[in-house]
Amino acid sequence: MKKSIRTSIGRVIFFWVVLFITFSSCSKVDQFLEHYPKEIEPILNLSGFVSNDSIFICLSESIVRDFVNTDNAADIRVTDYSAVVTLFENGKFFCTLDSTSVYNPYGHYKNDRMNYYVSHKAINENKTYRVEAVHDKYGVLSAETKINEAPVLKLQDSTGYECEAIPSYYAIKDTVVRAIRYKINLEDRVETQDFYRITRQTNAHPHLSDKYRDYENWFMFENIYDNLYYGTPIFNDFTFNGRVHDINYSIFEVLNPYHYLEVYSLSEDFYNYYLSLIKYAEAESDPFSKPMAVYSNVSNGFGFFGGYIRKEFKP
Amino acid sequence: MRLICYLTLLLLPICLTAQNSCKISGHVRDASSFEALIGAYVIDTINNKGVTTNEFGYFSINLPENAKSLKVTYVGYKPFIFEIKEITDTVIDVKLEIENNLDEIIISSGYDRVNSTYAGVETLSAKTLEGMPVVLGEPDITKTITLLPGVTFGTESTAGYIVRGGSPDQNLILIDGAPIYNPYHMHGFFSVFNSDAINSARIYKGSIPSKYGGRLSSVLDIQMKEGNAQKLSGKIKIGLESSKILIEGPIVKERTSFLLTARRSMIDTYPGFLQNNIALLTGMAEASGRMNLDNYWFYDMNGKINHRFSSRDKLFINFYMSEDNYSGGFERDLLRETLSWGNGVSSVRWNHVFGNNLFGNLTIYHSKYKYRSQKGLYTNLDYDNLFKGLTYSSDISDYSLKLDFNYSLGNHKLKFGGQYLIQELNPDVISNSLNDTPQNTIPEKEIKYITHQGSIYIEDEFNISTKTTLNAGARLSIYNADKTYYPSFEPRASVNYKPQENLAIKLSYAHMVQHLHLLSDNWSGLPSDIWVPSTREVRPERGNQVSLGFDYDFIGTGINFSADAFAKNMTGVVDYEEGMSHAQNTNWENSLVVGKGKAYGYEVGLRKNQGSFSGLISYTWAKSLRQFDELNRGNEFPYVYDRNHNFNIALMYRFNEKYSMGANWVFASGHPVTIAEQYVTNYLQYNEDIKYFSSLNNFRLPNYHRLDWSLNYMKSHKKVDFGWTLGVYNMYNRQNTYYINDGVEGLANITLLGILPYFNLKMRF
Repeated sequence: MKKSIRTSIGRVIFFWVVLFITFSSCSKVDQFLEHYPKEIEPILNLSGFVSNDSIFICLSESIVRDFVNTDNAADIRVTDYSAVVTLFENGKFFCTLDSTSVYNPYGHYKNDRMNYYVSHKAINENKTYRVEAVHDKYGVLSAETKINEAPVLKLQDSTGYECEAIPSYYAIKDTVVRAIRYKINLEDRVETQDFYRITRQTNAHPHLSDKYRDYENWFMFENIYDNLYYGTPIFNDFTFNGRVHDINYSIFEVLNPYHYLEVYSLSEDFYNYYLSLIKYAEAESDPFSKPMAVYSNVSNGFGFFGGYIRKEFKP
Repeated sequence: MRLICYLTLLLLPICLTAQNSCKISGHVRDASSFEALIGAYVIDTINNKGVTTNEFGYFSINLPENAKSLKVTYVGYKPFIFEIKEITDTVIDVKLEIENNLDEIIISSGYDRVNSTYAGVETLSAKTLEGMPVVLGEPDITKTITLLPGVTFGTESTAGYIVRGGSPDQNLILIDGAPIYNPYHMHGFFSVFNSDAINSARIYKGSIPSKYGGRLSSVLDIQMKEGNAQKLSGKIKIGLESSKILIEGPIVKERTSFLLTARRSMIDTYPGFLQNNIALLTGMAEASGRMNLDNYWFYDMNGKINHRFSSRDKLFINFYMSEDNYSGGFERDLLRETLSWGNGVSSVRWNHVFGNNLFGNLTIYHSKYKYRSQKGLYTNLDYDNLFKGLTYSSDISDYSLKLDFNYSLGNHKLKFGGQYLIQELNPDVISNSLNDTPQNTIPEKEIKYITHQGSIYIEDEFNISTKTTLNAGARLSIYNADKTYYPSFEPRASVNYKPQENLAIKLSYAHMVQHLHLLSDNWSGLPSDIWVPSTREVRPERGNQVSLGFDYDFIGTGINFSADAFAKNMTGVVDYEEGMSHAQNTNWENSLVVGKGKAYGYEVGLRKNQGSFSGLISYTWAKSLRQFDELNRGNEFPYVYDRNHNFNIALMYRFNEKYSMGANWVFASGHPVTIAEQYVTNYLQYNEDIKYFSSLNNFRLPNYHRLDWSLNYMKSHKKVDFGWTLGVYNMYNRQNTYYINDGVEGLANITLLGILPYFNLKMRF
């Protein structure tokens, strides 16, 4: 091998060895992510609603994730979340909410991360409500929502028929049982964009308990709704604005006396919150999905403030 | 009216300056193979004015009365001098001889860069591809271009390339003039282009010639070899991941030649455990081990026949096809999945030289891309016969006729032509063979779109003064789909000011329109991304780019330095709506959002093309942002491939005729991802915490870097040359992040490719 070639090889090998050593020293991934929780400020979460039953607001702290010590994720938290919560109707003072330490309307216990504020003052239809929560550290959180009119429901028809029984229900021994099909008219208003939620309540043993629950198997909607939040349809009037929307469902005859419908006329904010929760759940189960942010209409914080007028309908 | 004025202004100087004395035109070819030399420089030695050969090796130059000789040069070849004895129109056929046996590595020769009016254009030769160390030792055009200034990659080895803050679908990839829609094999690890069949590739990043349309960010124009018209020759490579063969030769010597290449993956020939390890390594199976690979293979084929009727007429018939097939599923049950995707291109091209200075090319092509996924129940893995389940497919077909002309008149080099394109898209087809079973919950759907697009273009390059050259053009098109018409006017212009012979300052502007959109999951690199058309609801994407830069050629050294600054804005860019992906059964028009984008930055490049030591050093700083009313509360956020810093070193050293060595070092800022920083309580369901992120793409992954190295050996014998390549990908085993798994136990850093040695055997005859 010629001397010049040997020299060249020597130079190149030296060059690459130096390069290799240099970059080897920086090959370790020391910092997993460039951000750490200490750089992230916690936020105050305001969630709640106004309704014809009650007014309820929940303030809770966010949990900042600890990406370094994952076992200790909840260490960084807001400890003081007491606030003065005031409600305004069409821009005028409506009421101040009282702090409470009992259950929320969904039966959940209060915990040390939350504070509840309630009022039992009835709200009015076709009004806009604004909530303000004044917090020492976070300042003023506020949100606004517009309440529509109560839903108008009428029974159009009910017919009996025979259908296949649900075998899992112990009280029904036969394979074929009698069921009743109900057709309920939901009369929509043309002047407003309306948003609805329907829940079904049944009680198979009213002599044992006064609790009504949502039993899907006994109570079958024939309508097909795109958006279901834990089995309850959430829909708007875009396809039937100003017209009658038929709610068709069937229930086993043996349970017939013990059921009713709850129809909610939701504010648009509540509707959007429900929809975003439905999409959020779908997105969480899809690894390819675009990240989903849950709907928020709270300024200077996070959360939702909605409202509804609820109507029970016993056919 | 504005258009008429513009065209009048464009054409007026032609009439005023058409005072040429003679025209010399012809083709420049390799003397040994008759292969067209694309981008060869033809220069009038007295007046120092020149032209470059086009993609067919054709040139036409106007010479004044005092012209004495023409010099034809091409890097790696001996210059050719043509003495002008008589000032008269002449057609010549130039055959350049290779200067030495050393394969030169050519990355945008400085000569070409300084004299071209196009800003931000880079040329790669086939030899450049051969010399670069790459993943698993397979030379790859789409990986090599990510080393260039202004070009970066998506995720580790996958998901396409990004040009100046654009998105992967904004890059037009042409193979002999026909588009390729999914240029990747094996989850994006290899491109579908067999490097042995590539003659040259040119990427336009800044000023994009008017003849190209349909994409916002860049054009990668790949010219395949024509085939050796002198003697039968070939290449064979046996590698760990794939093997390939190339055969080329004359059918009628110096008149008709052919080229045939084929490549096939080798993974399915390995024992089962090795297949699964490779599948895990390359992401074809899930890293958790729950998924199993039953089979995976790919192939691609190129074929070309060309016939030279005379020095004025040449006919090319091309075909190209590629396909990937994957099957796998969960280990313990019979729910299996098959994926297949592939491209097919067939085209006929006819060149004709009218008179001495009008070159015409007619192209008729058909290009097709199809993706198909089947999920269902199988028995004993008999995929062919017992399939029962869901089939999801997406395909796109192009049928097109193109006419391109090059015309040289006086001081003016005119390019003009037109295209008619019919596209047939079935973007989102679901068929269900579970109709008689309770599992049938997903409805079938199929929506077909047929779009029509007609376009004409004109472009003129002329000298405004002795130091300034202007290239101005426009493209006019009309697009029809879904009973909606979208007319477009796309002006393009670039100026090259040369204060001295080896320095060029360039300013360019390009307005681009894109009628196709790609709905993509971005990081996954899966072929499930779907091409969708512009419709009544979804308008075309439009973009403007301004670029300012300079090129400096260190004469006699083969060293070239360039620097460019750019800014671009984009409208009509699409993305999935929050919470949506291809996996959700929603009509695609209901799952996308339309918004805006902008990108700006600068890039520098230092290239050395001559001598035994050659290479490229590039650095890019860029920022790319997107804004959608429906995403991120309407606020602007960094684009998913917004890598701010990109720094690449690619060096090649040739010891002698046998040995050469190459090395790359790649550095890129981590790209942004969306990670929830906090949890907030879902008030309606107390036990659920909702992930909260302050902004989309709020985190940045760790910086990406790696070092690759390769040693090549090739020994010539009388009839056959033998060689091998030994290399290492990611030499210092950097654990680069492929994606972040945000699970219950916290965040997990998922890496894909650690240190990866490879060895290939090569034979050339």
